[in-house]
Amino acid sequence: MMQEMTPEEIKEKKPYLDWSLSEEEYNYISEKLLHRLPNYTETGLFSAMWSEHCSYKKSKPVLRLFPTKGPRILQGPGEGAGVVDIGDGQAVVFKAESHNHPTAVEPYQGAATGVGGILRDVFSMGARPVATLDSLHFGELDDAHTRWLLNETVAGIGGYGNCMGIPTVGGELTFDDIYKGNPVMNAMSVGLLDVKDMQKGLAQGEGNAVMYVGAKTGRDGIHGATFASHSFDSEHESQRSAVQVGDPFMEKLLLEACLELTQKHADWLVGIQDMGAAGIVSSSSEMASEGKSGMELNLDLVPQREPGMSAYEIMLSESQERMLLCVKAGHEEDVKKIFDFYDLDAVVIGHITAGHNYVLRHHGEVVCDIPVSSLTEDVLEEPSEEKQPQHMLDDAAKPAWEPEIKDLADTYKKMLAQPTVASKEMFTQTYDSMVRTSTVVGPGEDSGVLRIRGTHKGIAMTTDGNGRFIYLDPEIGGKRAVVEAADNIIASGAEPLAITDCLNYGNPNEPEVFWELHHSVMGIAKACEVLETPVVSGNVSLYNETDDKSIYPTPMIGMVGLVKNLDHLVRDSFQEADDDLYLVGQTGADYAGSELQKMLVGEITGSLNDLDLDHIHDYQMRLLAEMEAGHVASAHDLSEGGLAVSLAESSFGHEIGADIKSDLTSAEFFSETPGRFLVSVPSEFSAEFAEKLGQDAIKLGQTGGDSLKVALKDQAVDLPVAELKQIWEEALPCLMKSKD
Amino acid sequence: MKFAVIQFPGSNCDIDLYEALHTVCGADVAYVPSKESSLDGFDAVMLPGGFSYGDYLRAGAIARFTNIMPAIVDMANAGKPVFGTCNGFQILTEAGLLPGALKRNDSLKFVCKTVELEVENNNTIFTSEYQKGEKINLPIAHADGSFYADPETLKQIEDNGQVVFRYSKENPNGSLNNIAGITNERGNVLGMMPHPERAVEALLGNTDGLRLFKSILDHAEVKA
Amino acid sequence: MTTVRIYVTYKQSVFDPQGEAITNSIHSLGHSEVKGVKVGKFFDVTIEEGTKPVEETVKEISEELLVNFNMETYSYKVLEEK
Repeated sequence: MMQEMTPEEIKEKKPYLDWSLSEEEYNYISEKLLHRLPNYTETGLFSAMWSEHCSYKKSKPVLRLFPTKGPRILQGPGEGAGVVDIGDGQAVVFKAESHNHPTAVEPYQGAATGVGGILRDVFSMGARPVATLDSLHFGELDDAHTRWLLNETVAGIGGYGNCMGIPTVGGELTFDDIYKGNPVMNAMSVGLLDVKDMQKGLAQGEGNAVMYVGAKTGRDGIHGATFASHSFDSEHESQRSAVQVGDPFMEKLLLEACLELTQKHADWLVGIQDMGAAGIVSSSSEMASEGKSGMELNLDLVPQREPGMSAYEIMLSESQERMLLCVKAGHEEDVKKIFDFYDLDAVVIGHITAGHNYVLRHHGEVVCDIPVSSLTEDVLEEPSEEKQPQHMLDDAAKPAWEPEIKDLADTYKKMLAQPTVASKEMFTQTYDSMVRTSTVVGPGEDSGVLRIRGTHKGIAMTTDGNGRFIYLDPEIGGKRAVVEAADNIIASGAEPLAITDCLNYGNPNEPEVFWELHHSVMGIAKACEVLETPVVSGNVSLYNETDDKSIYPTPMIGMVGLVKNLDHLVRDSFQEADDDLYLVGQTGADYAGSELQKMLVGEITGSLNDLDLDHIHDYQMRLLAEMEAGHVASAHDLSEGGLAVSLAESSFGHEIGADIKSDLTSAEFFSETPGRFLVSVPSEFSAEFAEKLGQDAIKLGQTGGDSLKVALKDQAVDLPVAELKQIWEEALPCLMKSKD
Repeated sequence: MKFAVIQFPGSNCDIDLYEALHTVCGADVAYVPSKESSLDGFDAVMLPGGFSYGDYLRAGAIARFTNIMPAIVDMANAGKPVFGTCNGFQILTEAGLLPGALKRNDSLKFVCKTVELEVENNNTIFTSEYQKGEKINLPIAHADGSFYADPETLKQIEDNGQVVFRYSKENPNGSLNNIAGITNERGNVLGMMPHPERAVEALLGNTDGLRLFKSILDHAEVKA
Repeated sequence: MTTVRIYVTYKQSVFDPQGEAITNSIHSLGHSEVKGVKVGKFFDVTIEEGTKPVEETVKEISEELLVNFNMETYSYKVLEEK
């Protein structure tokens, strides 16, 4: 075994700098918190717990801007996942997590363990995970490495979720060169819970046991938390060795064992938490901190996969598929019996103690004895400099870009073949979207919808992020992201309830990046307030950059909604011929950051128009009321490619065409003004619908036929649905097959 | 008639079979963990889809050594209905209750979609409610669903009328002779890669699988 | 202790899609001299001598568990004896 440095050597040689702990932090810990020099193990614990990944020390001041309360909110940020009341004694539980860095290094395992981690967060609350969604942003597909990354990432998400038997019901996949070296892989898990079974990450009660359950500990991903708080440098590939390997079979057993415990024997349990980033140290210290307790652990008792692990390695290992429990004294054997049935380790590794210290023993020696709060609460917040990005000022000085559509039919077809717009079925069909037979709407529509067994209700869920808009204007882009998510939920006939987020940004030490973070959170927070969708959980992923080039600021909004009556569920696709077609929401000249701009110009520039959130919320609610009254046949939100793409996509499902006539120009046909829907309404409800939506809905024409007949102010086309559908379906398979 | 739904470690479509039988068909059904060794009191046994033992080694290879397997073999030998879908089918072939084997899909990818099947044989206790030659749509969701048997075995299966379902539009996995589901020689053990239990409710968009469960229940009534 | 490496491969006549895919990608790298790839798996099994001959143990575990004779076959070699 390598000889560990003495406290004095640590002070002298400063190894903590490589673990992302600054000299200022080290000195503060020594002088103000411990009043002595920390030893090797302690220094390691501090560096992990004080990393951005565990402490949010950089982003915390910004995260405080989020609204987190509401009448339905049972648990906001700070626990494994957010919990939202949906009536009948039930709650929906959800959270999203980023796994960008591990995915860039080893895409299959990076994505798989991303899914595994977020599932544990949800079942640590006592909820059964019922669905997974993803949000993927990759480089362009003309690059062989990107195609490999994408294939492996998708295989990893499917490999884990399919084996667990949790359907993947939705998500998004977009492409832009900015993500080439640093793809974004976010996963969201949604669970259902009987409110009475809700658990927390809590450890208290002197003498109660700390139990370790699940897989054994190996040297996996030591320093994964600090790894996630570093940026990439293509010259230092070898440092990227922190990826863990997932075992979904083990996690399936762990899930069933934990749910048996929380649903049938909650009275034996004080608290439960996933061992995620920074493994045992984060879960145990956070649980003790939450319970305002002391804790003593004997590391010799931790089930270990490899011989000769140091205390530091045991505490910081990020081996997957493990949970930490606080069990009432006297019930240790009862708990062990449950895990025995599933052939899982369940071992008492320590106890709750009087006082407030965090004590670790290893090979008979005390290797750590520090206040619990020094790991969890005393973290120094890091002030950040911020500065408005120069490109915003430059863009504002330039005249806005006005697209010119020379050949509408040609532009329409090209638009449908854009990888961000084209059908994602070749990927989504590798996900089991139907297992556990509750999926009412699977991948490919505005939101995934699951029925809630034993009721006639459903939950709708979506993930949305569009870095291009946030890049152009973080605050307006932030608002747009929430509006887009709400549009997706409402398009299914569901009432938006709350959001989770993954905040994916570049290096926050760059003032422009921090400005992006701050202002986009302001925009998200504002929209969440107006749309009445509080933030209940989330995650921050910083340092997303390769060779000093940051990704677009890419916050992902994961929203969940409630379908009160599944009879009034609304689908994307036109259902019948001869229904009236309406465009809900005003169309403006919103081309900055649009798919059209990317396609025609090849780059993203311009300033965004602000949104009237109150107005959008008002007509969203009137539209939802019409849906809940059963007056709407189909609804599809307008996003990339605007009305043009939504019209085409709505026609593909049942191959029902449409005949529309509009004063919009052919450029406006592709405009991406947020807060808009394409809605088909059976003629018997049309008059009432038009009255209720008033100025906010424009009648476009009717569904029917087998082509799209589109007469605009300046041009007209008549294109067969089958031809457009073929273009849309074949684009991605063709790009993925291409050879360099 | 009482159904057992076996829960192997890693089974994950157990609830789908259970709910299809219990909630949709109103049948008498109970879960039986594979650690149990008896199926006393049960008249039919259902092996669910999923990833028993993580599909490690080969799909279904480890599950066949569980405690419950001898009781399942006894049920099969006694002529009682034994049904396996997806991973259940893989387990039945690994256990030798059905001929052939299931290989990795030709695409090398997991595939989840709805495919068209032809009912090749409606003269079984599982398919009597269907018409011979009828086309139905059922979901598939697997990575190892390519049916293989050596030429001699394949000929026997075909000649005996053991092929019950065949992929009729596209072959999604490379199965020989487009085989989607087969019985044993006696006809009381059915294994199939498609998931009839995922197609029993209009709310979820498909009811083509319902008659498979009705057929088993009908058979029980006729016998009783 | 004896460590035996057991190789499990598809039988000759069984289509091996992984092998096909790998062959194609080798060809796309320009190695036209490569005429085929068959994919298999191997197991390093450590066996304590004493009760029965090592060959017998290998045969039994291969036939009972490691190999599906409907589509696979196996071979083995002794890696090291200590």
